[in-house]
Amino acid sequence: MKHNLKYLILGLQMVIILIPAIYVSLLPSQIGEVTIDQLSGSFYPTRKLPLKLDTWFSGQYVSRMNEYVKENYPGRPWFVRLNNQLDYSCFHHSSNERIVVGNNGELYDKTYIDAWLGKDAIAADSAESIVRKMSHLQTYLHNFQTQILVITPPGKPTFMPEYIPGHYQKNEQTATNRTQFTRLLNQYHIPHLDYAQFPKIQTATTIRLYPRTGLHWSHWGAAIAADSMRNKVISLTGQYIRR
Amino acid sequence: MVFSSIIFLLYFFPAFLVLYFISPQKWKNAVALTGSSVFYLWGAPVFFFLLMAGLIVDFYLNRLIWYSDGKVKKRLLLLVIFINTATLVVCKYLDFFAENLNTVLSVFSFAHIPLPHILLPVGISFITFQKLSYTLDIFREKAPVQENFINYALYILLFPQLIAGPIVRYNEVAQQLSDRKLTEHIDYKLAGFFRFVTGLGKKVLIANTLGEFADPLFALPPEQISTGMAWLGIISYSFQIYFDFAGYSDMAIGIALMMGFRFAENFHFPYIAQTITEFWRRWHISLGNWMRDYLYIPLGGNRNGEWRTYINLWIVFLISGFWHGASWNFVVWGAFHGFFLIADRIFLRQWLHFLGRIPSVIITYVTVLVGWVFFRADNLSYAFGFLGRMFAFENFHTELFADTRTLSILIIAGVFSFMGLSAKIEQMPEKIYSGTEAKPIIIFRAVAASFLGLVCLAELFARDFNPFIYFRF
Repeated sequence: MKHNLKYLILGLQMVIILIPAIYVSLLPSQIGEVTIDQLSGSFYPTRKLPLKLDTWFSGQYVSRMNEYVKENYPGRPWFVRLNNQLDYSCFHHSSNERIVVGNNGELYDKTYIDAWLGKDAIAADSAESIVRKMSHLQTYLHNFQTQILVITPPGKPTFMPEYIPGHYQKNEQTATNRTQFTRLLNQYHIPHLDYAQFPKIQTATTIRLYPRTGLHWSHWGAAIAADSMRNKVISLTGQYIRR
Repeated sequence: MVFSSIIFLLYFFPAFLVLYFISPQKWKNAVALTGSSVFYLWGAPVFFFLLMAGLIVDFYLNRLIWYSDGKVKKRLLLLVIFINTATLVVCKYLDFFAENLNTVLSVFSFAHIPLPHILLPVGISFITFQKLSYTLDIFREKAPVQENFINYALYILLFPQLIAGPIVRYNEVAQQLSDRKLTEHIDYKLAGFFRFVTGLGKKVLIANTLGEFADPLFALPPEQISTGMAWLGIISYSFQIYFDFAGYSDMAIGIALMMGFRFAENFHFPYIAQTITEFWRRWHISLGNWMRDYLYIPLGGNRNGEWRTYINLWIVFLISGFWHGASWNFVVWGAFHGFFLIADRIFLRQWLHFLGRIPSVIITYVTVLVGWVFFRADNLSYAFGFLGRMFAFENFHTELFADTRTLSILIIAGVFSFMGLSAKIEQMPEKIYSGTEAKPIIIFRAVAASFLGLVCLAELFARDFNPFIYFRF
């Protein structure tokens, strides 16, 4: 192989590792800020420490700077996404502890699995107390010709339990917040809409209510939900709402 | 600074390389020394000035050794050895000695002496060995003394090997310190870059993942660990420490190669060794060679009969263990390996040879695993407790911790560790890492390095777990 080509390869590799430095020093000033969507989430942003002898010699400056550079590097969101995608595609593994990778690569939020299992169910008397208050509110609002509508939207596990990993064992006898509230809302005659009826729709069509790697309704699922809500409002109020 | 940190990878390393490559030949050593100083100063500014003071004293004492002879030469040698060994002992072992003395004093109800709590300068164990290598090579006239302080300081401070080796013996690089025209070749630069990224991959993708699994397991009390978990934990640790250290060595060798320095190999499929003796010819080779040349042979080696050879071996391994850390665990770890080295010479090697290759490799690997328990445990009682769980054979339940990713990486690590059992694959690193001119290999390396580099960066940005085991030594 010719030396020129080898130098070209080395040069390209150097450019690859130099991109960050070039990016930071040149790009924003020359062509304007290149915008990359920020990752959302809750964290305390690292602040730089002033470079002084005491902060440097104590090691605080260096450790803070390491964190700061890592956090504020412009391509970080892209690299984090790449890592998460590789983890998921190669190992069916989620880097987020809240996300559970089910069978067939189906993703779930652990919070919703806990809700489906009834792990976060509140005590029966607390649930009844809440519904009783709703009932009082309903009576009060009735004086103003205003209706209330309570919606219980269950999470993905309720609709697609078949892909949840086997070690999440559901006991059908265990009360969940949804089953408790649905029963109580019926008991107190409070109008409500239980989206748990959706599985019937799901089985009737090949379009998914939830995307495989999504935790929220697909566009189709959201449209069905909105339509059901509209129909319910019309049936309660008798007033027509445009689609 | 750590090689696998964002600051190093995205700022220091590229900036240094560009500066180094565009510097004229006569300035390269000064640039390399400045870069190495910045590298050390960044993380350990306090020790840097002590280190420089020590280097100046050593530089002139070594010149005196070179230009003197007879008894004066020997006395100067002893003085330099004393200064460097004493510095190491004071910084690294004083607390350990004081603690043990206090244990003895408490038996006789005497008052305890206060612990000095001296901070351990980063990389002091490696730096001391390099300094001693220089002095002993000068004394033995195996290589000429450095007349130029920059060259001498560069030999000690050269940042690729500064903190965690490989231990570069002076006579191996003496020539390269003053003239690297032959080794500063585009083929070596390309090979070096590939080697660096491969090392980064070993460290970031394999060692960190397995460390993230092994660390919480070793934080559990032994009685809470099942037999299955104990084995899975120690196997993970064995791969973690291997890919951590071998990865770091690859990175060091790779950077050095890009700069025109050729360092000797430090690892060569250690887990396919058929005996512990062979293991030490494949694991941390630079330490083994250093111990052989500067300690074992001066002690008499195998020249004074069987028993003296065994004693020498044991001394070497006790010191080698103790060099790793100021703790009885490391002493036991060294003694454990020393014991098997002696056993190899007496009967074990023949025995294992009789059993055949695969059983020998398995037995040796399990022996090494037992040794790693002492190396990893925080104290001896934990080590024995952990070994008790390993050999209790009570419960093989392991799914509590290991997820698909960890298990997959564990399997990949196992394959990479043991694939050297095939003779063809065993020779492969030599071909891939060499400064080859073969077009397919160059293109393969360029593509692989770019892809692997991106994946490593993604991993580093996404995770916070990034320790380096050998830094504490």
